[in-house]
Amino acid sequence: MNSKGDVCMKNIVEVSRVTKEYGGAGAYRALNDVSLTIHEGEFVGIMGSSGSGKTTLLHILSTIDGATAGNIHIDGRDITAMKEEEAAKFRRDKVGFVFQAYQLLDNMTVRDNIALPLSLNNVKASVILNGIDELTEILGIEEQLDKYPYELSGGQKQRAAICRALITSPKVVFADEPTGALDSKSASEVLECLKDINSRLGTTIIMVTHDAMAASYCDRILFLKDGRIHGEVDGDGDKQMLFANILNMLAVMGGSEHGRL
Amino acid sequence: MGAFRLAWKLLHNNRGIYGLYLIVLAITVATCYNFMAIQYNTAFVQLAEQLQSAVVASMTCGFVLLCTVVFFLWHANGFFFKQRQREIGLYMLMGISTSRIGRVLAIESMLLGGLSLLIGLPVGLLLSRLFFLLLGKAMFLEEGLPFTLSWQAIVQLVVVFGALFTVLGLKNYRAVKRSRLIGMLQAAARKQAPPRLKAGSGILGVVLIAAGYVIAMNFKQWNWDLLLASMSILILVSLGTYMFFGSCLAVILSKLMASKTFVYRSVRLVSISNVFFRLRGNYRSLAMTAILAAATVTAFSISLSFRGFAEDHVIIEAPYSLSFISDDAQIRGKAAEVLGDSRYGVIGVHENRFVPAQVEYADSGKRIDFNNEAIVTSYSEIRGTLEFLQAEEREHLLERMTLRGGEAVFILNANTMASPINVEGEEIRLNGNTYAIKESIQVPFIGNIAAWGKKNIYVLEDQEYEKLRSNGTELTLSGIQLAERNGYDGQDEQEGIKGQSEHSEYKGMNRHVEPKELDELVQRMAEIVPGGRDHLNDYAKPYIQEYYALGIFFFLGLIMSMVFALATFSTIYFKILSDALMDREQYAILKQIGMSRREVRRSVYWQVGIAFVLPVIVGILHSIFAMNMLEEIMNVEFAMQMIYGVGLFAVIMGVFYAGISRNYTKMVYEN
Repeated sequence: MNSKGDVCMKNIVEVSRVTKEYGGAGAYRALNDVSLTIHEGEFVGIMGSSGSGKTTLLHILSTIDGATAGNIHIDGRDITAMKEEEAAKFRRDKVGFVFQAYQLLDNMTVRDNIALPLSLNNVKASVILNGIDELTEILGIEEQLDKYPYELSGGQKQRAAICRALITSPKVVFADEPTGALDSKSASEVLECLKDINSRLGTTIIMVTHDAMAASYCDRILFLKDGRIHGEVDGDGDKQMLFANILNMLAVMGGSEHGRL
Repeated sequence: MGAFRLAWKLLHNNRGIYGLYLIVLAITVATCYNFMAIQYNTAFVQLAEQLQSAVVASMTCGFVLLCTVVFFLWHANGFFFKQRQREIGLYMLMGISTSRIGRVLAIESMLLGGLSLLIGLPVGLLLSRLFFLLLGKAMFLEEGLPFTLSWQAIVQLVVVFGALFTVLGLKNYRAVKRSRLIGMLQAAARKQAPPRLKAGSGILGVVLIAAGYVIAMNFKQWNWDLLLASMSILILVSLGTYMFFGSCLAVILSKLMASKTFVYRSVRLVSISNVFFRLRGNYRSLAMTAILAAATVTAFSISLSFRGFAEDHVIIEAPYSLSFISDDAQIRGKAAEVLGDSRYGVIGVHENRFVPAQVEYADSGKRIDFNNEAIVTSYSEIRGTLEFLQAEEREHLLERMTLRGGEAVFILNANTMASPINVEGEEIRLNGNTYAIKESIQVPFIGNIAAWGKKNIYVLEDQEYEKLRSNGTELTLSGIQLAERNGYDGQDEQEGIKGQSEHSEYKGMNRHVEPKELDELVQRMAEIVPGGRDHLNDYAKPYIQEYYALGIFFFLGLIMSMVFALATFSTIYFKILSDALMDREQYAILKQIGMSRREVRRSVYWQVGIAFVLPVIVGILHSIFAMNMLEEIMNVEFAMQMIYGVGLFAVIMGVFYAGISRNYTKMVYEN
């Protein structure tokens, strides 16, 4: 439903000259003058080694952390100017999260976990339940709805987490190393799911990873090094080709072996 | 570094988290000492033996106090152990053997116990000094109650606490010795399972509580022994409360969780699932909170009631400043002379007429009157007495006592303070006639005069009494109300009023004499009245004996209620804060997926509310039934005291609830 070649694609995320410093002015610069633009419906990967600033960037993009300088617009709204209460509402309604450690609540069934963001919004229970049924069917966990997270495999947990991220029909889904804790089979299942969601529902996905295989599912990959954008690789639909390009890029950036940073 | 010094150093390093605990422990030790010291006080023991209900109450209190201390220590120890698991894991990582760490922890626990005794005992001694001082003052004792250092109490305390801390130390030692490094390092991440749903035991819990309540309401009608009844109620209700929170609440919450239309609304999902999931580990402390809340409210209300009750009961024991039994006009004349010489003026005289008689119960199993000896009087006599005394609510009381020919009213003798005797509906034979007992009541009549005060009073309709009077010997008790001359000039009446009159239910006839100053006059009267002291009753004796016997219980009750309140607060405090520690991670996730601070706060208020308000409500319900039972025993109504007790407790709990919820929100949100 979303054609990647569309020229009049809307910019969903606009980052201009964002800097993040820790420990007082000039002490440690995690992000240094970063600017980037992401279009609606894109599946973008962010790669970089540990300490490159990729997780910091994700946190700032998703209002979990604040920037020291610069502006960020998501869906036309300046998130750097938001107050805490407003930011929380924004996170809940416009943004979805997928984490490496799943971050499902242990004391709720899968169904309740997925329902949580909408129930906080006082959406009617029947609407929530219908939404859950539709999404879990797409992600293939409709059988697991009444189980608790500890009864699920890693891949199932991550798919449940994706459902929770998608239930509010967010503009952007942020995925932080979503396959980091999974074996390769579960990892590719989860990545297929994300890809499927991206093309079927047109959800914009921004995924942080240091796994070249995971990154090869993306449309475009941004490379971070020492808090700056170091390069970019575009895919044209050929996964193998993209994978090779990523490895190439990592080699150029230096210090890469076996496709991992 | 030796294990002992290491333990001391660790304790010192962790003083931040142990500080409050140590304070609570020291206060516990101090209060326990006072409680034990009073039990070894011979004066107290003598007084306690006279009142069965007081013995039962103090036994129950002691039992609950011990349970409370054990439970609290166990709980707090678990809380601190959990907090320090990661630290212990680090030591294991550094290669210290588990047995060594265990040894250090065991020593730490004993040091803590020793320290709390070291601080608590002097505080306790100081408190008991103050306590005896206050008690002596309240009893108007010239030299005050002697302050004695009770070695028995100290030894007992050291043994009990020493044993408790040794057991806790051993428990920690074993826990460390058996632990695996990975378990220690990942302590917070341990997975929990939802509570099992046992509808059967949930229902049983409710049934047990209900059974306890039913016994509490009917034990008098069923003629149960007081000790048996109260112990079985205690066990039934405690057990039922545990089952209620363990099973019944789990079933209710799981039903709530299953109703998506209910739970998918605002923060309900978060708070209810939190409480539900924790129930497996938390139900014990919920039940304990409920029982402690019940104990707190009951102890407090009872001590309030005892105070009011003592004041009322003095009027029943001694309706008049002075009274004597004699039909001899000469003696009455002499008595009037003696009174005329004294510094008191007579402000009223009332004659009470009655006939000694043999009363037999149709149900021969009933043993109410010793040797079947009793006193019989007429409705008009009672009416006259109550009106002379201007007894409060006398209209209502008289209405209750209105009689027809074949009926009688039972008035409990003035010597008995509280009794679960139930004779309503029984038939008695008196002077060849049969009467049905219509009402059982306790009102002032002749007071606790030595020769007659121990006998119960049966009130007959006037004509029935006339029949009896004609073949029996009627006796007359002259009741005299006195006032100090200088204070009683008819105009400035307030000046002359002393003592506790404003608290009295029978406000009409105020006491105008100091009980102590009456002594001399009583001496002189005893020389005139035949039978001496046996036929003489005065205001002073019962006033000092009864009022201050119950005064002790009033103080004791207050102390107990303070201990219980303290235990309730600390149980809730430590439990909820240890929950908050575990909730941090969860609320971090909730924050990330967009829960605002306000929503977190609301969810915390709900969650803490369920874990807090529910036990408190259950506890208050228990205490209402306990008070109701006491009302049955004492034949009075304590509604006002109950409202005070429950109200005060609810207000304090409300403030505590708001405070702890704020703390909780801070702990889970700002990180």
